[in-house]
Amino acid sequence: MANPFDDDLIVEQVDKEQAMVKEGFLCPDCMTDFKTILRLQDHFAAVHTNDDRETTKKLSSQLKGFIGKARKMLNKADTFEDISTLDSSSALAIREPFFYHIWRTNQSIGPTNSFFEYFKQVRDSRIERYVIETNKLLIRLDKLMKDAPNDPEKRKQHEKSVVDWVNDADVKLCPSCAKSFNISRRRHHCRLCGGIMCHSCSMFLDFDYASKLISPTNLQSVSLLPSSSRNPDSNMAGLPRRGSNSSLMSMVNSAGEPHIRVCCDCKILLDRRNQLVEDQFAKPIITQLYEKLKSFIADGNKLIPLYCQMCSSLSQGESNYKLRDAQDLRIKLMRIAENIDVVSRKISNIDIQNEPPPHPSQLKLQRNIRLSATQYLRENMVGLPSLPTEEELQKLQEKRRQEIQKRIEEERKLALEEAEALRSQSSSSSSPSSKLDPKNLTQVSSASSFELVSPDTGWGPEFSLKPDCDLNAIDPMLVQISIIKNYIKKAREEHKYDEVAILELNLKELEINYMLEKQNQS
Amino acid sequence: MDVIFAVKLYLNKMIEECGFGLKSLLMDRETTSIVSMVFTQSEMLAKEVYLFERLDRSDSIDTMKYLKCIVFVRPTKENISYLCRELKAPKFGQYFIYFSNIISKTDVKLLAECDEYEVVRDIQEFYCDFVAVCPHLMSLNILDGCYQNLHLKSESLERCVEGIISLLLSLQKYPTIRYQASSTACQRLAEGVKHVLNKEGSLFNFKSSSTISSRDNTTLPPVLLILDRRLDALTPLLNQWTYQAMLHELLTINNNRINLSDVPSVSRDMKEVVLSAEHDEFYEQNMYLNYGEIGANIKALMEEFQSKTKSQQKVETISDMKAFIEQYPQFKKMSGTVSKHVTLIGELSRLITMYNLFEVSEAEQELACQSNHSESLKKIRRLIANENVRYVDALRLVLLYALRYEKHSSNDVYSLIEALKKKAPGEDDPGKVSLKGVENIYTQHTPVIKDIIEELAKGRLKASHYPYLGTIQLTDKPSEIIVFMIGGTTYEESLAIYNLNKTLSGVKIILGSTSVHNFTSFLKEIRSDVTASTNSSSKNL
Repeated sequence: MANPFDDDLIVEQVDKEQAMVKEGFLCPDCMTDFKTILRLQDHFAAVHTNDDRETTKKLSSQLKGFIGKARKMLNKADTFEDISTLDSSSALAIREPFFYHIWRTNQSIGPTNSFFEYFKQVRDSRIERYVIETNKLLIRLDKLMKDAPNDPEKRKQHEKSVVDWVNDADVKLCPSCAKSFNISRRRHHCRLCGGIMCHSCSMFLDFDYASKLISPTNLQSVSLLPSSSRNPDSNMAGLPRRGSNSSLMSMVNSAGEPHIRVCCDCKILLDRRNQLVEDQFAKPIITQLYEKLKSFIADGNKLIPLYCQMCSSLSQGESNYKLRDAQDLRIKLMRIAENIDVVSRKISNIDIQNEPPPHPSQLKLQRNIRLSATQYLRENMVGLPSLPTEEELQKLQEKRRQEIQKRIEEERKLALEEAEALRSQSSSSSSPSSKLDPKNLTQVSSASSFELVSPDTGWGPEFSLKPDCDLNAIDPMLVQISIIKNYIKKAREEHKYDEVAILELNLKELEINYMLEKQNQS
Repeated sequence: MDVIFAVKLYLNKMIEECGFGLKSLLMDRETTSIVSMVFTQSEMLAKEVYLFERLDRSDSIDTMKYLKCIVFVRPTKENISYLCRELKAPKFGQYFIYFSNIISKTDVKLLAECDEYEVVRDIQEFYCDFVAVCPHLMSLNILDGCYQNLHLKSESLERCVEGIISLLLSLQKYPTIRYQASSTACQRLAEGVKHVLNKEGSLFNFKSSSTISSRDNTTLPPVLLILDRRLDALTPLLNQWTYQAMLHELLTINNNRINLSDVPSVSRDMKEVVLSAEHDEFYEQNMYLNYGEIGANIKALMEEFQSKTKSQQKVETISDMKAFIEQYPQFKKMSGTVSKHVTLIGELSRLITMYNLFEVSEAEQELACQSNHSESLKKIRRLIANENVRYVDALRLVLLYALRYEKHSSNDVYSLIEALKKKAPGEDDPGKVSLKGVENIYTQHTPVIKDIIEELAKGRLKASHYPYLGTIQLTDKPSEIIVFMIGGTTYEESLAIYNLNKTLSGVKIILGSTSVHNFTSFLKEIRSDVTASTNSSSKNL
C-alpha cells in the first residue's frame, strides 16, 4: 500500500501543513477526524491494512503511473545533467575575489569571425582540377587492368585504345630530361596520359599498388591476402615472355613483377590520392589504445559520483543502498583504474624498443598521454572513500534507527501538544476539502529516500516481453511483477542503485499483495 | 570584464570546436605566452591537448596523421608563410586554424591555395591578441622598447593598435577614446585605434546590444584612455614592497614565471617557479600584501603544513595509510606551494639585507614625497658611497633626485653623476639616460594613474589635457574604463587599479600596457629609446 511514486512530495508536504492548521486529518476510508498525522497514521495502519482488494486495485493503477513517471525521468535526465555541470563551474568561481567574481558572472565569449566558407570556396576551385585529373587517370587505370589481352600486340592495341598515344614524331626530346631520343634512348609512352618520355624518366606502377588504387575500399582485405592471390583472375599474373621486348617491358619489370609504365606527373597525382585514402583508413595502434583509455575514463566518470553518493549514504547508516552493490561498484572502479593504468602505460611504451627509437615528438605525445592518465587516477581514483564493513554498517544503521526513533517520538509529542492546544483554542470546522491521501502520509518518512534520487544519465529499460503472449490472459499483477523485475535487472546493470532500491521495495510490496490476493481468492 | 576569463573562453571554445580525440596545439612565440598565462599544462592535458609545438619549429615534428592540430597564431606575415609550408606537407590529420586577430582576405586565399590535401577543417579569428596577466591587467609583452625619439616605433604602434582592438573585441566593448594631449604617441595610437574601429565596424556590431543590456546601469559607452609612461616616470623608479611587485623588481616575473637558477643553493625543481593567481591560492591571497604581512602569512602556512606533515608521519596502521592516500593530492599540492613561497621569500629577504634595500627605499620615499633637499642629497651621497648598495639602486636615487629637484636652485646632479661613475666605471655613462620630455609633476608615492582614473570616474578629467577623439564629448561618469599606457606599466599601478576596482563601486577598470616594467626593464626601455633616436639622427645627418 505504500507507494512513494504517486504524488509529488512537495505538494504532499504543503497539504500536510495546511492540514495542520485546519485540523483536517481525515481518514479517506472511514472519514473519521484525527488530530494529528501520527494518529491518523496509527489508525490507518491498525484499521485499514486488511482492506486488501481496494489496495491492490489502487496499487496496479499507481504502478502504471510509476512507469510513466520513470519514462519522464529518463527524458529529463539530459537537462538535469546540464544543470549539474553548470553548478560545478559556478562553485569553482566562488574562490575568486569578489569583483572578479562579479566580472565573470555575465561575461560571454567575444565575437569570432569565420573564414572557412571563403576558404573552402578558394580551395575547392583549386582542388577540383586535381580531382578531375586524378579520376580520369583512375578510370583509365581500371580499363588497363581489367581486360588487358594476353597477347603483347593485342595488349598494345588495348593500351592505345584506353588513351591516345602521342605521335612519336611530334616529340624530339624527352620532356623531363630534355635529352634527344636515339637507338639507345628510345621513346616510351605513359599508359595513363599517352605522353612520351625516355626510359630513365619513366615511373612504374607496381601491380599491387595499381589494384589498390582502383579499389581503395578493399584496402584492408587486400593487404591481408598473400600477394600471389590478390588478383587471381587477372591475366597479368603470368605474362608470356615473347615477341617484341619493348612492349613486354611496359608490363614487366626486371624482376618479372607486372607493372605499368607512367610519367611522373601521373604518378604524383596517383600518389597524392593514395596518401589521402590511406590517411582516411589508417588507424594506428596509438589511437586504438587511446580510444580504449578514453572509454575507461568515461566509465569511471560515470560511476565515481554514484559510488561517492552510495558511500556517504551507507556511512550515515541509511539503507537506500545495499552494501553488496557498493562493494561491487568499488571493485568495478578499481578494475577501471587498473585498466587505465595498464592502457596508458602501454601507450607510453609504444615503439619504445624500436630501432631507431620513435621521433621525439611522438615520445612527448605518448608521455603526455600517460601523464594525464596518472593525473586522472591521482585526482579521481586514489582518494576514493572506503566502505564500512558489514558490522560497521549494522552499527551505523542501528544508530540511525535510534536517532530516527527519537526524532519521531519528539515530533509525535510536539504534534500532540500542538494539536491539543489548537483544539482547545478554537473549535473551528474541519475542512474536508483538503485532499488527504493516507497512503502518502504513511509514506512521508520513507519518501525521504526519494529526494536522494539523482537524475543521472538516462537508461532505457528495454525489457522484452514476448509479443505473442497475451497480456490480458495473465494476472495483471504478475505482469507488473515481471516488469519490475526486469527494471531492477536493467537498473543494476546501469548502476542506477537508487532505482534498484526503490524498485525492490516496490517489488516486495507487490509480491506480498499478490500473495494476499491469491489467498483471498482461494 | 575579466581579461583572463575572456582568453579562457576563447581557448575553451577553440578546443571544443576541434572535437574529441588526440589533439596538438601549434603556436607562435607570443601565443605561447597568451595560452600559458591562463591554462596550466595539466589543464590542457585534461582537455586532450597532448602536444604543444611552435609553428616556426614545425620542421622538427614527426608526421602524426592521427592527431588533430589546433593552430593558434598571430596573423603575421611569417606565420602565414610557415602555415603555407605546413599545409603543403601536412604533418597532422586535420587542422583547425585560429588567428588571434584580424587577418586579411588575401592571406586566407593564400592559405586556401596551399591546402592541397584538404586538411583544414576550420579557419577563424578569435580575438585574444594580448597577454592576460591579472583579471584587470593585460600586457603586450613588448620588451625591447617601443619608443624612438619620443615617438612610438611604427611596429610598436601597429602592435598596440592590434592589442587594443582585440582587447575591445574580446570584452565586447565599443569605447569612446580619450588620450593624453601632451604625448604625440598617445594621439597617434588613439587615431590608429579609431581608424580600425571605423574600418571593422561590422565586427563591433555587439555595440548596440551591449548598451541595451547595460541599460539599468548606464547607457554610456566605456572609455578608452590612452596614457604615456612619461606622464609618471617616478613610479617605475621606486623599490616596491608588495609581494608581486617585489618579486618582479628583484627577481623579474616573466609570463608568470620566475627564473631562480642564479639563486645560491636552490633545489633543482625550483630553478624556475610558476606564479599564477589562478592556480595558486596562497599567491592569489598574498600578491597584493606587503612584505611584513606576507612574512606572517608564510609562517602560518608553514605551521599548518608542518602540523599536517606531523600527522602524516605517523603512518602506522592501515587506516593511517588510507587517510594519507586519500589526502595525498592535496598534500602534495600544498607541499609544492609551501616550498615555492618559502624559497621566494627567503630569496627576497636575502637580497633586501644584502643590498641595504630598506635604507635605499626610505631615501626613495623621502625623495618622492617630501622636499627636504639638503637632507636627501646627503643621504644619497652616503648611500652611493656604501659598498653594499647596488649600482642600479644608486642610479635609481640619482634619477629620482634629478627628476625631483630638476629646477631646484642648489641642484647638484652633476656631482652625483660623478660619484656614480666612480662607483661603477664599467657601466654606461648615466648621463646618457636622459629623461627629457618627462613632465615633472609633483608625485606622491601613489602612482599618478590613480588620481587620473579617480578624476575620470568622477567625470572630472579635464578635456583640455585628455581630449576626446571625435566629436562626442561626455560629461557623465563612465562605468567602464580601459586604460592603456604606452611604454609599460608597473605592478604598483596594477595594485592601484585593483584597489580602485574594489573601492569605486560600479566602476570597472582594466589596465593595459605594452609591458610590465621593473626598474631594470624600464631603464632598458629608456636606453633603447635614446640609442634608437641617436641612431636615427645619425642616419638623418
